[in-house]
Amino acid sequence: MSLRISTSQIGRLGVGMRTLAHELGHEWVDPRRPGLVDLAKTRRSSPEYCCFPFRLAMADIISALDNGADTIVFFGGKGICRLAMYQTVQQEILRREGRRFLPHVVSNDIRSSLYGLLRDHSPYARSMDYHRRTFAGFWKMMAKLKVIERWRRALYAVRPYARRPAEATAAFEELVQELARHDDVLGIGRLYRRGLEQLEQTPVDTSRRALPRVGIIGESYACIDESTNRNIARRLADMGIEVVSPLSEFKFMSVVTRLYYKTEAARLRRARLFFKAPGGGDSLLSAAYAQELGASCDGILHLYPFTCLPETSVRQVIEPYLEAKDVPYLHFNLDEQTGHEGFTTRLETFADLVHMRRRRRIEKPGAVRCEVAQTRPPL
Amino acid sequence: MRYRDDAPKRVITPVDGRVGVPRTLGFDELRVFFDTFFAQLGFHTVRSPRSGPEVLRAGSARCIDEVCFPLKTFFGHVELLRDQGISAVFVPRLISFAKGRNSCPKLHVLPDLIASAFPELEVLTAYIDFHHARRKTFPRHLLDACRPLARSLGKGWPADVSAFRAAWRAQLEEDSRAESPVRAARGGDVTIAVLGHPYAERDEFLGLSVPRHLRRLGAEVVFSPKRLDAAPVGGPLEEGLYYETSHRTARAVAHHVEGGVDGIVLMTFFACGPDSYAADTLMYRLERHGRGVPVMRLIIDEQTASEGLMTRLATFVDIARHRKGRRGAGGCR
Repeated sequence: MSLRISTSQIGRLGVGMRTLAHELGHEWVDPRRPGLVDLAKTRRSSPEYCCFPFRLAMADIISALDNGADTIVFFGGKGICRLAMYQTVQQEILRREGRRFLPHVVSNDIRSSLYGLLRDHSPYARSMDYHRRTFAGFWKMMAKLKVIERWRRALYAVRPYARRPAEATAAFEELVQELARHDDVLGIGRLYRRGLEQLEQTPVDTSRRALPRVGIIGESYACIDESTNRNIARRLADMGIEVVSPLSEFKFMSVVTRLYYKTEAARLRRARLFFKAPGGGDSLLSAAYAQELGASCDGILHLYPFTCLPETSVRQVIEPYLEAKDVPYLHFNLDEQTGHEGFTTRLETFADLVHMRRRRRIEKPGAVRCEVAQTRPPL
Repeated sequence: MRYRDDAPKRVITPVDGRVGVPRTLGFDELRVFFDTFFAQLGFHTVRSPRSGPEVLRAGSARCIDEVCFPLKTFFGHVELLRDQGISAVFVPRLISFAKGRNSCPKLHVLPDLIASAFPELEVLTAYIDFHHARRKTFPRHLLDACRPLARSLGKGWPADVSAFRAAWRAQLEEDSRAESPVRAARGGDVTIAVLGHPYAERDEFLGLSVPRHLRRLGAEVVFSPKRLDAAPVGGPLEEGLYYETSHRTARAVAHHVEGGVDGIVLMTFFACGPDSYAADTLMYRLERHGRGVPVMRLIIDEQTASEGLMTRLATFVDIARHRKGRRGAGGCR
């Protein structure tokens, strides 16, 4: 029996989840991105001061159910931050509103619990092909998310220098849509190489040299999801700033599935400078990236949902650290009521500060000039 | 990743043998235990003054603006301890007291937050995480947590074990003294339960004197039972609530609903993570399982105005009286 599966969107996670669902004979239902009206509806039914990702996830889930989904994958069940309670509260709210669905809670060990969901209900469950399809599905999902991560990195590196930045962004969007249509391994590989070349060969304005770099750290949703963070990377690129954003959908799924956890282990050990115990959410990663990017970037932007517990702990410890290291730092706490003008004003002021410091460093004798970053990582 | 032991590896010598213990955030639950533990090791515990506006002012200067009201006050307590000449402050890492439960994420990293805000102070800590412990009983786990603490003060075996035994005995005696719900005053024509975090219920400043206001309005006030393991398990109210404090509140609510209170005031703090989900969920569940007991939720912080608070409390007490009168006259619940 195949299912019509959906889940809350984080950035372009749906591109990978669709492939996984299709590989195992299920149908993926894309939730529509919530607009202000959807968010207003979920605000009425959500707890009063729950975190912003909760409301976004609720809007996604309601939209998916309205589009015909019958199975909702809930992330949560374990952990330190409030994400652990999402699935309990979300299911209660949906049932109170009279919605029917098959819930599936995916906790930390997504490999076994998502595997269990797909195995029990897949049309291929009793076929010899099942394990190959499961492995292929997970591999392709992670491969697609990795491709999106690398394209995005290339886009952020080249956009501030591009002669026509909007075209570079449009090219990226088209590539992602095309990626969603490819489900074969060779096709994904060819598209990846073509897309990377296309982005790296974006015509640049050679008069722009040595632009400042700003690192973005914080909570996954706020950093990855462009509608949540008001397209902050694009705005910074328009202000002539190169963005380094280490968080991505791939990293999110890597940490959740623990598939690539070991590659983050060294980074997490560095976070011991700030935290001797996990504080939940992305707190350890945020603290570690603050240390890493503080040394290599001209400024740090810290993005998180309003009242996010782990990130406010991170803010408490990294603010004095970055001040001592003389690294410009700005935090944004985001929700649907974040005012556009105030947000823009603060961002512009920060951009001016970063530009000014960059110019001073370059004009100072002995300062190191920074070239346009190499964007093609080793395959 | 799991960090099992984060006690400092070097020996800390508190000045004048005094260890500061902040008087808030529920440290009172194990107050007798840690007072006795430190005394047995040869150190004297110094408590911070009671919470008040000067404590809040001092704390707000040291922490960021987005943390909850109790945490700002906690920073203030540490600041006032520092002003008293204390060089070492005890901030336990309260991660979990029971299997399958977690405490607030802020408590997981509280020693790190204090160490960052007060680099001039030494932070003594005990890593209390029963959920991930190998031990099957909490006292054995507490002993494992206290031994690195004793080591960081230069005390090894057998001093640490004998100090623990004396402290645990003292704590059990203290617990056995207070087993029934604490009643703030006798009298009153309605009984209102004020429930929430322990410091929300019992701290005059953090709780904005809500029990006192209710008593002035003629209500009898009750709190959470001190020994919640003696209270009935919450059942449908408690199901799926993840945090320790949420479980305690749910069980206290169930206990008082069974006990027939006339109203429940749920005290929650703005920006409190556990309360943001648990309190709303409890309110909805009480509509189905609360036997018609009126429930009011107060979201408080340092900017809560007293006039609005008084109006809400007065209205609530009137509602509770009205419903009690109707029940007594055979009216519907």
